[in-house]
Amino acid sequence: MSCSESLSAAAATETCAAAPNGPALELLTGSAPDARHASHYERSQIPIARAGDAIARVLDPAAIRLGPNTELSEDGKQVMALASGQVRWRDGRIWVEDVLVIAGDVDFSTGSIDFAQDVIIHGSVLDLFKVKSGGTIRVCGAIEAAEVHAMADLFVGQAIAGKEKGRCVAGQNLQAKHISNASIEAGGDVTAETEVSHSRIICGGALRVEHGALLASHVTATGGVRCRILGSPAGAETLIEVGIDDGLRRMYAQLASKFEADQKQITKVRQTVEPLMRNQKALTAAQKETATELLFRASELEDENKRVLASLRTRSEEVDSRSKLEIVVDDTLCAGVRIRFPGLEATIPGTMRGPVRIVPGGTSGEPRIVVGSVGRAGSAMPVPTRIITDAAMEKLQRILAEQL
Amino acid sequence: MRVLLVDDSRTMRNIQKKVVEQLGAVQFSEAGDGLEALSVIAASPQSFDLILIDWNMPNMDGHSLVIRIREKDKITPLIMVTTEAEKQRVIEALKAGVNNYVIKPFTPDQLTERIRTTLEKRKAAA
Repeated sequence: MSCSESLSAAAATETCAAAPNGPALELLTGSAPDARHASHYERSQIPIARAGDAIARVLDPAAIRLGPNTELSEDGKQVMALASGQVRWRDGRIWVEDVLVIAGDVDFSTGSIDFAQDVIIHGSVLDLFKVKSGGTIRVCGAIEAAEVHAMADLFVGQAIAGKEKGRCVAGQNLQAKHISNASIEAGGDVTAETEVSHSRIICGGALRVEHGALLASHVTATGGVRCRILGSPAGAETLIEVGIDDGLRRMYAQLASKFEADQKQITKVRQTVEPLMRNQKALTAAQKETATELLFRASELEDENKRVLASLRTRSEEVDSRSKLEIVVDDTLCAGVRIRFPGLEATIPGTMRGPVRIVPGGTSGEPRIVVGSVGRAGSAMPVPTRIITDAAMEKLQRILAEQL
Repeated sequence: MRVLLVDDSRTMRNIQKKVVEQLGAVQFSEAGDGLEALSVIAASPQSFDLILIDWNMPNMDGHSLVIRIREKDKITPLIMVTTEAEKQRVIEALKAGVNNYVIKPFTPDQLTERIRTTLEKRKAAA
């Protein structure tokens, strides 16, 4: 649903339906501030229900009409939600809608949002508010210094202007007009129309700045980068990492110390217990029981580590399939930009006119980062390149290779 | 599958539970000694598909328990899981009526293999 389509579908839902002698039902969800929440930002003013929730008490059964995703409780005294969504009511009819539409901004009038399905926000998301969706989030305005988290896609009609506090996460793709001073994470592609500046971008796919500059930012993009201008003549630091998966790096960092500790424990048990097993007659009954317990624990740890390695291997293979070791700059590549491919790093020595393509190259004995003009064969120029080591990732690759 | 675990060590019962669960959907009952095991068996509406029994337990040991079970039940598979490793003990247990014998310390694979063999033989005999 687009922004304009949903605007016509949104309805005011301020009042309960009135029967001739009074209200027909009493809402049980959403509008009253929840006393448990200390922060004004958290108090959601929007009635939201989960499947199975009681959403209203029936006061006048004759005056109620049940709409989609609702039913009466067995005793007929409550209205129950059959699906998760926003509770709506109008003219005696109550229903649960599976798209949450906010007609204006996410601000103190709405509170922060946590919704299982898609969310459409016609205004902006203001400072310090949070929006979380189990589906796609579409913001027609801007996202300021807020936290927005979509399990699927995040589309922003205007800017993401994070003021160094804002954070946006999309399970799949993220799109905005421009991005500044924000932290962005997307499982898929990140696309900005006019500019990306002073931001931290992590994407599992490609980063594209279609009509503008990418500058003063730290970018980690597994699927490559394309922009019009890369870097800044003023020399603000720009670091572009391509073909590197930050998620895998973090996953391994999280698991590595436990994995290594478990491996040590397993080795210790096997080295201690197994010799004893060869001379069981010398063991007391209690020692035999303890030996059994230790062997079992070692076996459990081995199984757990196998599962961990399997998930790391799957992620590693998935990264390899998405990885595109390429940066394309259509207009200007500025001096001072730092480029990183797996194992290689270079700083662009001088400003170059585009379109240019930056890739890892050289020979196996002397790998280099190479900059070449697009469409001009033989124009590739190696730039002074440093070999860099990512100790954690190299260790992971070694472990994965050993386990094969 | 309904399994009764008889061992005075809760840790050992938990280990056996985790191993047996790998064989499929299982409903467990537990007892800490032979007398408690007889109560559990008597109170159970259905017979067990398998009973794992430790030898050295307070109140009534595993060997005595096997004899008492076999007085009325010749069919339910019984596996002795014990630290008693001497040949004479194994023979005593088999004479009492156990179907198989596992000596502690055991690895999970060893216990699984013994259980599988016992159940397969039971199925073939049925």
